[in-house]
Amino acid sequence: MGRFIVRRLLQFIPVFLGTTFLIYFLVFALPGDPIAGLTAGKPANPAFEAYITEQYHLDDPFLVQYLKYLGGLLTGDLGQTFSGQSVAEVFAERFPVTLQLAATAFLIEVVLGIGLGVWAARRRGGIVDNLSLAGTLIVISIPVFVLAYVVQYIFGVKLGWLPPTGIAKGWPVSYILPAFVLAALSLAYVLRLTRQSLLETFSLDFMRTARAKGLPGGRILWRHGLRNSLIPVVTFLGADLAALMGGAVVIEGIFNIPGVGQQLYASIRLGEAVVVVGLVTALVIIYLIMNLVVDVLYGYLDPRIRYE
Amino acid sequence: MRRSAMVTVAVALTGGLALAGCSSSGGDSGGGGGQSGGDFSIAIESSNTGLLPTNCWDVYCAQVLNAAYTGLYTFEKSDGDAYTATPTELNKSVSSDDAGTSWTISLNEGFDFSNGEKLTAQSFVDTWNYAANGGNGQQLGFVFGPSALNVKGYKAVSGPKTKGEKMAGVSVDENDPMTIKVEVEEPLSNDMFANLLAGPQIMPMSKAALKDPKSQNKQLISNGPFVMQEDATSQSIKLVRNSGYKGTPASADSVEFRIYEDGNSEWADLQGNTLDVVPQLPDSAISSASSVLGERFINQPGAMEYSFYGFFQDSKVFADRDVRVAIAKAIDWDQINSKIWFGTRDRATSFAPATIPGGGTDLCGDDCTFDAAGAKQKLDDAGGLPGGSVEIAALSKGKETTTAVCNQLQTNLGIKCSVKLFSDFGAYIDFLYSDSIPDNFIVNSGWVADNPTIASMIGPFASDSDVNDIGYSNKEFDRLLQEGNHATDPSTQQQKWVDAEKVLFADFYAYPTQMLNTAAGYSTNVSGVEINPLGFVNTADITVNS
Repeated sequence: MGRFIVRRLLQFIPVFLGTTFLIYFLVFALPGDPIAGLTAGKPANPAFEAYITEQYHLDDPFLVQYLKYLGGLLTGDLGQTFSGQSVAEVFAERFPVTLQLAATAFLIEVVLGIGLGVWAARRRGGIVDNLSLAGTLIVISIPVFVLAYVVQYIFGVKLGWLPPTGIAKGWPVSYILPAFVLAALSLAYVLRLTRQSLLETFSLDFMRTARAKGLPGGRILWRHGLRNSLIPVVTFLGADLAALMGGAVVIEGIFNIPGVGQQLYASIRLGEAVVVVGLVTALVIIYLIMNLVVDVLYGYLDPRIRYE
Repeated sequence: MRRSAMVTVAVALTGGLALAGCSSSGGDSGGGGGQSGGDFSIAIESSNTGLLPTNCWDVYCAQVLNAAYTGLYTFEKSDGDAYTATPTELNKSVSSDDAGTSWTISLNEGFDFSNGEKLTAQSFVDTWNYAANGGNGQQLGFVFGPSALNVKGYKAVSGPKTKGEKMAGVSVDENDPMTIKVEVEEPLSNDMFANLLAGPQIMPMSKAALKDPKSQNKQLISNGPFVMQEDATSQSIKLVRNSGYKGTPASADSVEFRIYEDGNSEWADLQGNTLDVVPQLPDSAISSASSVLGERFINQPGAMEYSFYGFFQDSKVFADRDVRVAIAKAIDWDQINSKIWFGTRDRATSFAPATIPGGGTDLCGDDCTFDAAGAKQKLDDAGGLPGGSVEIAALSKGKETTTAVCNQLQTNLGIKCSVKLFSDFGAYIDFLYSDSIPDNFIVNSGWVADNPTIASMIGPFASDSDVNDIGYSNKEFDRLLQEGNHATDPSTQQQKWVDAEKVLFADFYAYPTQMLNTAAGYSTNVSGVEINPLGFVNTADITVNS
């Protein structure tokens, strides 16, 4: 197990180099001169132009720019935004916000998704089952930004129950709407996955044996049924937590949440390579770590799985 | 590479700071006067530039700086609809010699910085030297350069390796620490001098700020009606009323600039009444703004911004002036403005709206008036459109408008028309300066003035302008613009500029299509919201309803 984790961690290094290289190249290849974008069409002062060009190595060929960036990373310098804020500071400001949003969404997804999924499976054909099947079908078929605007308008603007945008009211009030929208799609999948998987497990021999042994219903459901049904759900959830962080771009834009997604959008627009590379690479690493955690979790859920 | 001889400062830099608003002018003492107390919020978008005055060129940072600083001039409505640069309470007097090259500015005492530092003439001199010095890489340094004020000794300090060097033409009077002396190379009129010194780049900075400029992005030190107490964050910049302010105090206790990335979320918050002022409503909101906001929807003509169509001077397709005019006459802008823009834009008849002194008169006349039959006739008389098709540029935001234009050209002139869509501004500019422009390409662009002068509206068309996107060049136009810029008599100045504008229309390589309105809105919590044509909110005069 230990060796397995170390080996996986070592794999992060080439992935890290590959991502930074690729993303740096993509931002480099974006059309438009960053300085023209910065000054919004007004002429740039030559002194300002010279300063920005030198500061951000804009005149250097791509490989030199990239190597200078890597060199900076080695000395712990993540670079600067065009407005002079250090990228490390941007990270410290933005990541906690997105983490909170993603974690809240994740919580909603897990609690509601698995909870309703179990309920639906136990009372198959009942009201909850039918309602959640219909509800999830609707959610899956609506584009997420439509859902976001609708929810924002109804609960934020019309009813005024929750703030329409921003995080000024703090956790949880400000996060409920965006987290719900962010979670909605995955919630639908988790619910359906849990329900389906549980129904399959119910029909297996060991479940009948457990019932025949006279075990209490709750124990059969949670220990024997759910635990054996969770592997596909956990696989999905693991990949999803990382996706939630990246998927927050749209949601953070609509609900004006100052997180990673919003920054990413702004920086891509400005061509701030160092910020985009830093943020995306961090997202990639989070994704890798989540994958690792999921793989380790498999072993706990199903002892038959061995690590090589 | 030289810059045009106009003040190409940036996307609308100045204005805002009301000198003495209606709510609390001079004699209003006792009984609370104009101070309503309370807190309100204004939407801004995240600035690319930070909060350093000498580097602030977008409307968002300028919105904050206008509330936080008192500079030398602010733009106020003067006669009729026109706005002019008006001295602030800090500005005691300004005078010049007869030649208009040697200027003296006296300051009133008491407008000190929020960190306790005293404001003197030296504060201005230091700030201006910091801005002009090439080693500091400040975008607004050029305000002191040949394209604008043209201060003596600017060239010596504007190079990259000049850190710490000072302009010879800016100094403190030996006998009076509150008097600034400015020497410029070419004569300027009073109006011109005032207009050039009305932007954030001339806001005085404290010694502490100049020592650590980056700190200003988080902890601004300023001298205006509002000052910063809490550190700025990525979502909000909060300013509170400056209790020691010598001038007319702000009405509200505090103003919070909330930072948005997307106009739609500003609109959601305004509808939910959780945000108080949206200085520029998003396009998606204007269709319903008047029914949702009623009286609280501001739709005032004369924002100093226009859209224009341009034809490259070397294009063979558009070589005949009649062809260009036929295209202009075939487009019904009134219809587009009412159907797509819901009356938040007007058909343009000149380059300067009535909010600019000397602007607002119809200089284009018949050539800019919609007349489908006349347009077709003109095109036929000119022998038709060479090639039979045109291509019009559009950014994704303007797609609907440009598509409508294309449809009209196809219907009214019987020519083919296609929209060339660009993802963002940078890509568009790249294309305009590339070699791959087809001969039948019509430039579709816009311009925002920096100050209320005709020169600021037509400056981009000067031959040596860096933003002359259509490569227009006419010596006569350049000469008139220049003469206007350096005329010391106000009426001569305006006449020269109007004449220059007439040259543009005579050539018809570029003509204005739409004049933008200020389309803004505010919540039920505030009143007295005024927005000047450059887009700045009069933060000090806004009262919070109790």
